Amino acid sequence: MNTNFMCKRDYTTEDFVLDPEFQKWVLSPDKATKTYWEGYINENPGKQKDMLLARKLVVNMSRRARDAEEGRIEDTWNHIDQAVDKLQLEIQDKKVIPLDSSSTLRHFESRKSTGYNRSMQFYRLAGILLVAFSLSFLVNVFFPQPVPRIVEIPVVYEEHIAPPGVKSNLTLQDGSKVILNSGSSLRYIKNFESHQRVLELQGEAFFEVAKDESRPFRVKTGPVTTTALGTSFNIKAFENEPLEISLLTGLVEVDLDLEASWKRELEPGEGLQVDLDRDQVKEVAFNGDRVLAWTQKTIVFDHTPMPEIKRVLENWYGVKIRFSNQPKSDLELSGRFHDQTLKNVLEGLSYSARFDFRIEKDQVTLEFQ
Amino acid sequence: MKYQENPISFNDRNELWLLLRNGEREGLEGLYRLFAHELFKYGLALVNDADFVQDCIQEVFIDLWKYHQNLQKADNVKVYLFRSLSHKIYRESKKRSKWKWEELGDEGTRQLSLESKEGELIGVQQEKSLQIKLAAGLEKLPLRQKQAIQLLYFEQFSYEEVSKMMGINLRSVYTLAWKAIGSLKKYVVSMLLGLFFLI
Repeated sequence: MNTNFMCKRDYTTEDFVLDPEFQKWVLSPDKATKTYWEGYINENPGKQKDMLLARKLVVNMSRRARDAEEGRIEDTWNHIDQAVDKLQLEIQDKKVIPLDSSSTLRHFESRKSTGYNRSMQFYRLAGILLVAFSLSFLVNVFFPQPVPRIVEIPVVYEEHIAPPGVKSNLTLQDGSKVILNSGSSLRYIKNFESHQRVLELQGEAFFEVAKDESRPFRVKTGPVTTTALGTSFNIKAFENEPLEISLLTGLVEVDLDLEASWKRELEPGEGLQVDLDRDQVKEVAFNGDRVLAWTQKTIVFDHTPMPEIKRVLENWYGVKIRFSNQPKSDLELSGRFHDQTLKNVLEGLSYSARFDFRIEKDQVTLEFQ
Repeated sequence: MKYQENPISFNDRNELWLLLRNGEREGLEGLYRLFAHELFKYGLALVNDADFVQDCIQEVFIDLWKYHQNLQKADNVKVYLFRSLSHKIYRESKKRSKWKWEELGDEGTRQLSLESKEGELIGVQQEKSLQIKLAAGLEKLPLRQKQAIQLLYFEQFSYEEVSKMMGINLRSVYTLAWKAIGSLKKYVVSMLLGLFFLI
């Protein structure tokens, strides 16, 4: 109890008002809150004035409540309804709507097997189709269907993989440019959907998005979705590392779907770091030069922990790195290497980190001193 | 207050949400009917312009339909809707930065009812004139401060929920609310001083 009073010892009027426990005591006191706040006054008699003021505020806090008239609520719904109708029509235009052809064909099939004569069969079918058409026309006129039947067009995915040691430059069908870092992959529906461009990314990529306001460009990385209309941004999403989104130009919206979703708009020069394991989001100002170094054959380490260095070098040079003994867990290294061989990079790093290394084909062993 | 808000249970909202995610228009309409009044009330408390609030609510629901395929399982549908509306109002009002608060002034108060916590109070004297002053003071606050107070105090969301809705961290929510209460405090202080002189 006492420690509790301690942390509220410096309370101002504002703090009291905002304290849910205090509100509860004022508005609907129960035994527990009563004992608590009476104890509090005894310990902090100097706070009585602030508490009185806070109580007055809590009791009288009011807002002008305006309720919308039924008419407006109905009107709003009609607008939404119409907009949805329009959206449905747009989708309808782009997708195939069959007049239940499969059943007609099946029907045809079964008749054929009974051996009716062919021309007879043709008129029969034409007749059936005519009736079906006019019926469906009438049905549509008199009972407009709210949701048209839509046949799923089989979804074909396009996948690009940049294996370790290789970076790839892609131009997507919509004109957007992507640089895919080594050890990363990108997957999307061929030619995209009609209303959005969705890509799934594993690893790191830099995007220069072609402007198309009718089809938002979304990059999904696990529970995080980054949406852009016409921008360039970098996303780094490697397993077991914090996810980083950095915006260079334009505007993107980042949607996190951790326990409940959360949205944040980024402006140029702003970045987000999401730690999925710990459910933490950090806003970071980033150094464009550093974030994009990888697109210019440059490796930059800036207080980078050893496991990340291992991942970067493995992907970059297409090698496997083994530590023969564990480095100190707090070991962080910095350095900048432009278009260097693995040997030079390791040599550069070994000065500050004090390790010996051995390169045998694609196997690298580091031994820390 | 918390429990009387809707006779419809959480399961119903979640079922409507599921319908919506499956592309059923009944889901969209059900959610609208369920929350329209609350959303309007919240919107109108933030921005005293019914047409503007209507536009924002329309867009929230149209977006909901547009992106229904990407909607996730919502743990709290109400939080999601309030969050979307808060976001929309904040963004749109930045675009049209000129509001005509002053025009409404005190005359506006007459047709509007005051809402406070009196329903729950037993044996506590409320002061009508102070309430009117506080309500007017609340409307004059900057939009973000107003949002924080509306959500925390009147809509009864938790600090965590408000932080998610406004897209800022817990500390910023607290700071915004703190500043708002700081401004409102003045009305109470001047009221107390006024009484003192009367005696």
